Amino acid sequence: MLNAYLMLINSKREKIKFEEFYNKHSNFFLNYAQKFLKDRTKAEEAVHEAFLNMLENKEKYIDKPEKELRRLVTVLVRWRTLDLIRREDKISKSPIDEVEIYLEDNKKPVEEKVELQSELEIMSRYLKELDEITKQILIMKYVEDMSYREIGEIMGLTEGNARVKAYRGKEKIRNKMVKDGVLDEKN
Amino acid sequence: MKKIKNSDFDKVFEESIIYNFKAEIENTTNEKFNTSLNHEKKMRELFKEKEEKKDKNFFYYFKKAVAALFIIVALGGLITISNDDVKARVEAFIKYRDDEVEIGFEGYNNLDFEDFNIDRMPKDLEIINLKTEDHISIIDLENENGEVFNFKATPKEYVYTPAVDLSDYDISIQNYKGIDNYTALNTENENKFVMWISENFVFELKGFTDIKHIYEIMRSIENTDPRFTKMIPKEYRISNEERTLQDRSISMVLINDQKEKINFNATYEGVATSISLENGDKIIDDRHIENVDVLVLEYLDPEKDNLIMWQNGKYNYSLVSKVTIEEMLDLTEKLIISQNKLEDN
Repeated sequence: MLNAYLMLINSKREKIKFEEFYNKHSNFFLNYAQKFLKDRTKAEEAVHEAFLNMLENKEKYIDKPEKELRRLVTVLVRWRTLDLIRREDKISKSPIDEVEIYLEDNKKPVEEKVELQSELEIMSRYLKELDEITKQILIMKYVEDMSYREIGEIMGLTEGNARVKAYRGKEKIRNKMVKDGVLDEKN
Repeated sequence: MKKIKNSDFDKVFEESIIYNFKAEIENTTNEKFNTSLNHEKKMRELFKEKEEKKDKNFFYYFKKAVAALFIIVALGGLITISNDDVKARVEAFIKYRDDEVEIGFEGYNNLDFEDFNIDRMPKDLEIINLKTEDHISIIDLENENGEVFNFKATPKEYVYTPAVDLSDYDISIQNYKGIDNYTALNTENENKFVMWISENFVFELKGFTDIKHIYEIMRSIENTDPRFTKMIPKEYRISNEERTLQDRSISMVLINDQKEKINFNATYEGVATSISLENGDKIIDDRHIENVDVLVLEYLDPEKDNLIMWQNGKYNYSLVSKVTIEEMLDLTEKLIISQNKLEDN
């Protein structure tokens, strides 16, 4: 498969760079996708789509430092796994914003209030309330510092829609935390 | 229980997203992944499908794109883009098929035949045929070279489609930096062409035709455009003293009996019609339902379900009304049904 990908690259330098990257990290991506999809073939497909996605915009990605590139492709793989689930889900014909996917058992009631040690742990518990599409947007925004336009292009959403989803997700968490008394109310 | 300060919320929220993502990755190993038996075959099939799709598009446009590129380069030296005289912009849609290109203006639902009269036709053309059949007005114009321009106006569907008969022209399209360039190149004489660039819903018409005249045509259409007064939500009216028309932009204030105001601003420069509300507790959302873009302006407060919806189907849009969410869903459904019917016909 590597050879097929290499055919999409013209420059020798970029070919070498991609080959090294592929050999070093493709197992990681496959294991990562497999963790969510629980299906070997689907994991392969998700990673394949992510690589194609990357190569379609290679001028933007190829010269990034290895660590950054690995993180970026991981974000793309994550989106592709969600997209595969969405496409194969029984409600796949619904508009994307109506699809809520929970990759794991994320719906444990927040009411199970455990004394948590740090603000991050408290917040993390609440983040499980977010649907995976919104979470993916926020990951692209905060981890990769992508613009909403870029996020929209990758996820097949409009810029405005991506922005609104992120905003609503954040407000949802804020309201829930205020209601549960773990966040001070706004002044 | 530990409490988070509201002022820290944004920062902690962002850090938590990053923290959780990192945790997700950290649990993933780099162990050898045993690919499935059919992996190579299946991935190649997927790959092939994508490539075939790309190739099809590429070869289809390649030949024409080369011709278009030639013209664009040649034209570059002749036309100063910043000069208003060589620019003409109008909201339009463009279809092309075989030897004919259609330039359609949508949304002119109040225009009748008189509005689309000879004053708006390019000069040096003579009417050789003029008839109206079933709400379709057909005007055939011919220039001194015997080239026929066939304009059709179909007010029944609110779509005017001046179709230019370009049987002597090679129509090409190419995408340059995200902008579609359309070129009609005369097959006998490469110095004769009509070219226009389409960016979103706006196009620039350029070429050997009297551009200044075309510019005037487009300006005259703009100034009589009735669309914006057709987009007012029910219960609202225009506050006349606050309505302004400046250059390509229309600003007006809509007001209802409760003295609630909507500041409305529409501009022809692209599709970026901005709408702002006096109260800051509302947000503009846009959704794509089936193949109809729907712009939704709604209250953020979940307790209130009032909203205002715009339909933006193709290049035509209209303000529907101030409705509840239930009504909106109902309207959307009707919208999709009518759209489907239109396409079926």
